[in-house]
Amino acid sequence: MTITRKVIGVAGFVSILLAGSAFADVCDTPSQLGDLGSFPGEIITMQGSMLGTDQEMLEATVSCFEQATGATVQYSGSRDFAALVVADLRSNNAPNIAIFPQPGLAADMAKEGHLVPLGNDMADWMTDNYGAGSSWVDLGTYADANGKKDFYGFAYKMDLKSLVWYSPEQFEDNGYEVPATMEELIELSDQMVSDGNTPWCIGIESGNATGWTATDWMEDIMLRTASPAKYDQWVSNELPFNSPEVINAMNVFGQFSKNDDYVAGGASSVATTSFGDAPKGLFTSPPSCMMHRQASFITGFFPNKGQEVEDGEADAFYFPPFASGNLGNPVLGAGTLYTMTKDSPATRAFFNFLKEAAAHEAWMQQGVFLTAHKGASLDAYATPLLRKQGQILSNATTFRFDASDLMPGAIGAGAFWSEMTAFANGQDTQTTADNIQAAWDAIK
Amino acid sequence: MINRTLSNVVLALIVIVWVVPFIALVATSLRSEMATKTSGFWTSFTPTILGHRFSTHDKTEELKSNELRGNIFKRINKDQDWFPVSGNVESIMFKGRVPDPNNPDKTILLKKLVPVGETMEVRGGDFIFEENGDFIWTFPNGSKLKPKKLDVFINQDPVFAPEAYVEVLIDNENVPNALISSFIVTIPATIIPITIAAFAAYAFAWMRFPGRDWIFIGVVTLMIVPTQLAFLPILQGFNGIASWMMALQELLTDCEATDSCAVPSKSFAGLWITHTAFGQPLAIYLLRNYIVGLPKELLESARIDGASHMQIFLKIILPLSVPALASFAIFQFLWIWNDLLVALYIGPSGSDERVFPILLEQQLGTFGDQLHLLNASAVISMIIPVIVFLAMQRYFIRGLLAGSVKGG
Amino acid sequence: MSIIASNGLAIFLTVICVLPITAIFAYSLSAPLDDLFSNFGLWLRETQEWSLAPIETELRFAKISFAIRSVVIAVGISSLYFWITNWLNSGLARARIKESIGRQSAIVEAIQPWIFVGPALVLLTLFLVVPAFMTLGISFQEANGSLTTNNYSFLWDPKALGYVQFRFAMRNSLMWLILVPTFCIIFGLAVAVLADSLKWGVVAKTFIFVPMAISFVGAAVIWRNIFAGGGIEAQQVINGFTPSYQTGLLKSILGHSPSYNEPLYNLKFWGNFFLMWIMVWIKTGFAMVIFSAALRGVPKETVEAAIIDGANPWQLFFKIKLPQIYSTVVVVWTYMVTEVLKVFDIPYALSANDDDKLLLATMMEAAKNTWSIGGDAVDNLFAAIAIMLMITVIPHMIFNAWRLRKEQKELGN
Repeated sequence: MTITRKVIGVAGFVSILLAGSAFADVCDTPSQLGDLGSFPGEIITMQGSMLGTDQEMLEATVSCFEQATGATVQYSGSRDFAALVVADLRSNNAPNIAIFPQPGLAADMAKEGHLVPLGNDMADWMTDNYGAGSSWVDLGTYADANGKKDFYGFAYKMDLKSLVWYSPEQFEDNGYEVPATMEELIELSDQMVSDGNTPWCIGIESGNATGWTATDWMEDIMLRTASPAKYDQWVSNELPFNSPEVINAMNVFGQFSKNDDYVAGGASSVATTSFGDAPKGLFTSPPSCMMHRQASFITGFFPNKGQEVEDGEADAFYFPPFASGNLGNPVLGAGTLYTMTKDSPATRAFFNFLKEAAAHEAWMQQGVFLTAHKGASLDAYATPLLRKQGQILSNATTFRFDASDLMPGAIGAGAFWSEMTAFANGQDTQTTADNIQAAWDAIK
Repeated sequence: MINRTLSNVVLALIVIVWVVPFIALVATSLRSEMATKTSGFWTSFTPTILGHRFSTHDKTEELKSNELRGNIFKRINKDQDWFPVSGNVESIMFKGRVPDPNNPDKTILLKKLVPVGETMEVRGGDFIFEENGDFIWTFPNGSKLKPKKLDVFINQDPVFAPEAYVEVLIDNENVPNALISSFIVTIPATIIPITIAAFAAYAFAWMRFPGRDWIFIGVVTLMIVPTQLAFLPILQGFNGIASWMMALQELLTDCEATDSCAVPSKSFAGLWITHTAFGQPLAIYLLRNYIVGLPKELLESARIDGASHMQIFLKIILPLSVPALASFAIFQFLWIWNDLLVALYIGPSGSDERVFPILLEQQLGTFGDQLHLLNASAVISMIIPVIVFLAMQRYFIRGLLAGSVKGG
Repeated sequence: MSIIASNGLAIFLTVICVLPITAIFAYSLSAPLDDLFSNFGLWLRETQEWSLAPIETELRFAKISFAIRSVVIAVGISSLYFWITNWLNSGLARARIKESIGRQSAIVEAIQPWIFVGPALVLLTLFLVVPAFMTLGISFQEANGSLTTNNYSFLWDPKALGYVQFRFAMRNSLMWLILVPTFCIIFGLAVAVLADSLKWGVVAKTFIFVPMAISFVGAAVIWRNIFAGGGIEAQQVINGFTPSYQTGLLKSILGHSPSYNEPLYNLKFWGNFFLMWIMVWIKTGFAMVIFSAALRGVPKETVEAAIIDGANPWQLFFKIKLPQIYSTVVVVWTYMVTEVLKVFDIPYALSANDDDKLLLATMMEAAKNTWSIGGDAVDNLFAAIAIMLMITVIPHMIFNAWRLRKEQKELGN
């Protein structure tokens, strides 16, 4: 097998030349790619959780790097990435690059000494070149086995979560207007109910990860009912999970999800409807619901894989804040963190590639991709909707990362998910909050 | 005999329960995604009323006069490659706001199912349609009309198409990779055990050595041992071999330069050896029982003629044992092709090296909202074993019966 | 005596040295074949205009070539083994005992059986016997190697990891054990009896039998269409309702509304029965085939005599036929019991991580993969659960051994 790998390395270079034409469009970006060096025949292994369309776009973007340097990048994606990468890092089967969707898990791996520091130069670059750069650097900074903090996680490809998807034509037919405040949104939902329509499609089922959609709702609401400082305290558990602010946010979510009239299929269907199935209710004949709150990636799950956005059948508006809250325009988001798990010159070159505006524009041109890179040209966004989302990102007065991704794995990928699922299934707010707090106490 | 009609009815009921799921599988794999989401497979064989959305005209179309004529079916099928809609139009949903009689400054939403032949108001004009989909939209002079999307309910004719198969085999690499991986794992792991077990079976049947009977009992009883009992040490062993091989490679080749030294501990080769070992008890059991049933005169006369055991085995017994070998081969092939457990723990986990059962298990999750793809993938995974099974049923049954049936 | 031992040892050592080296050589020397085959694949891709990426084509053909090579090398090594051992066996005997041909052949005969069974026994020892004992050892160790019985604490300590899950697994295993073999036998007998008396019986039997060919995961997908559902809800309009259907067959029969989309196998406690049914659906074919053959073995005279005596069909079956195939029923039942104890795929595919549906095998898998976020100690827990599983099948092993021994004695072999 190993001799084959050498062959693959060389042939990979050749094949990129052969197949190069197919990818030319993607790599033809407004910004030029700088000199990354030359690494013919080198192989870089990458592991992540991206599958399907995401994986295809990643591989197309990465091909620009392969063309420029002659290296080959082998990406392996899996739904069980969290378990697989931990097993591989601990058994010396590490890939060169691990793409963590959650900083929490990356921090755990850094503490076990499996990650390679990216260096202060990289951190300084990000502070200068990313919008709200220092928060992005903080996101990727973790303590290693000796407690020394280093910059490990390079954020690339962000996700905007504070969006509500809807069908403009349905709104027009029914005489609805896009709400600018949360109070108007609630009023609109009530109006829809009295019209005989169902306002919301909410689905939180996702196999082992069931409940994550509910945590997104909670976090968006937290940002609209409590200050950003309180949000940060909530993430670190300085603010206990069963404190009044959090309980209030959960009750607001319950206002939406536990209301049988508000949700397509009734409140009891929330926990059994898969997150990928839920938005399809916007497009059935007749539509099962009018609105769906979800992050920007969800267009890939629309019946026509996102074509609806181009056709004008689907659009998104900003999940509005409370007018009475005086908390500005908070935005919830997430992003994947690229970490170096096995050093090599070619891998270092790959991280230099990620710094290039061209690397961001290459993906922007393909489809759903958002970035805080200040040098990336807005024109490269593939659609007006994406440009709109990009602007929401830049108009935000507060930007916060998805809380469940920041919390330690046992909470953020454990108790938070399962307790919110129980909440959706009817468990009351106090019990849910207490249970999650108990889980926090158990790991302290 | 038991009442004949009762027998027929009961048997027919049982067979129906057994067969209907297969019908569901194949039917679902031939339907469109929206169809699997909105109606059950048993409705797909007869005309069913389903909802569709169509737009009256394209944005770019220039409207010449006061009137737009078109056909609903043509509009729906404009972009539809695989599942053209046909049938009878039943109704179109009309939505409009009218003043609320009870509350003068509020409006209520009026929703109505407009039947065929009745005029409805669309964007200020009159819209009327027929059962065959023809519609006429008259609108006031001088208006530049935006296309309108309408929900129409059609008594739709059955339509099946293999879109799911195309998408799963051609647009996606997972299924073809899984097919190839399954073949790569199964065929060697079926052939290799035979080369080892046949000899052992012969020895247990016709050779004498101390402890033979007890060792045979031990070997056969190992069939019952849960294989999970062995996984941890086997994995540790493969880890060790892998790192040893890596060291050897670093020594002998320049793989360090290209960083291609890594030898995976979970590999196809590991699966082959493991399945070869796990398959010995069954192979030895089947083959030995068969060889024991061959006439002893063969052995005795050959021995008198001075033949060695090796010669007897290779020239006489092996050719005669082909039915038993076939039985075991079928068993082993089906067992390994369908195996999830061993492949999960010991086999390769890379996305291009997963065997089909592992892929299918993951697709239960990833294709959860695209049932037509899930079912198509399942059908593809089943075609090979079912064909093998039906073609070689006799041998399979013979294998099952060997030693299970005591004469009365 | 010692000549046999020393010859045997010599053969063993030779084989241990020669075979691995030959194998390594064979692999290295034939490695270029992979590249050749890859290039052939690339050529095919060019001429046939495949849309597959070149690197994918190469990898695939390389894999296939590796598999073919391996089979050839394995068969070759196996043949080499038997050829070398045979040659050495007779050669050494001839060389060391020059006087009597009788003694020579006696020595050859004494060693030869071990040559024949050697590889199989070595494989079994290395891959089943030794690992089983090693797992036993692991189950009594901590991650750092110290001895402990902590890993078994899930049996008695309510606070131990796995305590709750083990109770679920035991409860479920008991239910499976009682119901699945019973229904397989009932359905198997029913079809065997009914089909043998009807013209279309052969076709019927084939339908019942086909599920044995498909994987458990495939069966899970098949029954998902029946047990899980969905659909859109009807909307009320002034003059009626919009169409709405439940997409799952059984859910539709039970009258579930489309938005009640929880699969039937996810129901607390009752969901288990749906999972059990899938196994019955698959394994009934096995029982049916065995019973069909056994019933045919019932002597015709007993049946005819009973009919003459005026027995009705029920009496005929329960008093004449069934007692005569009793031992077959026992064999089928014990086989099914072991299968149920070991079942993994069905619950794993449809209900992984649902404590309520756990069985021993899925509990083990959860221990290894899902509970391992806490640390490595969980491998030892995996081993402990594996030993518990082993304990449950020991009765069957003993019964099987006893049956085989009885058979051996009867046949006087």
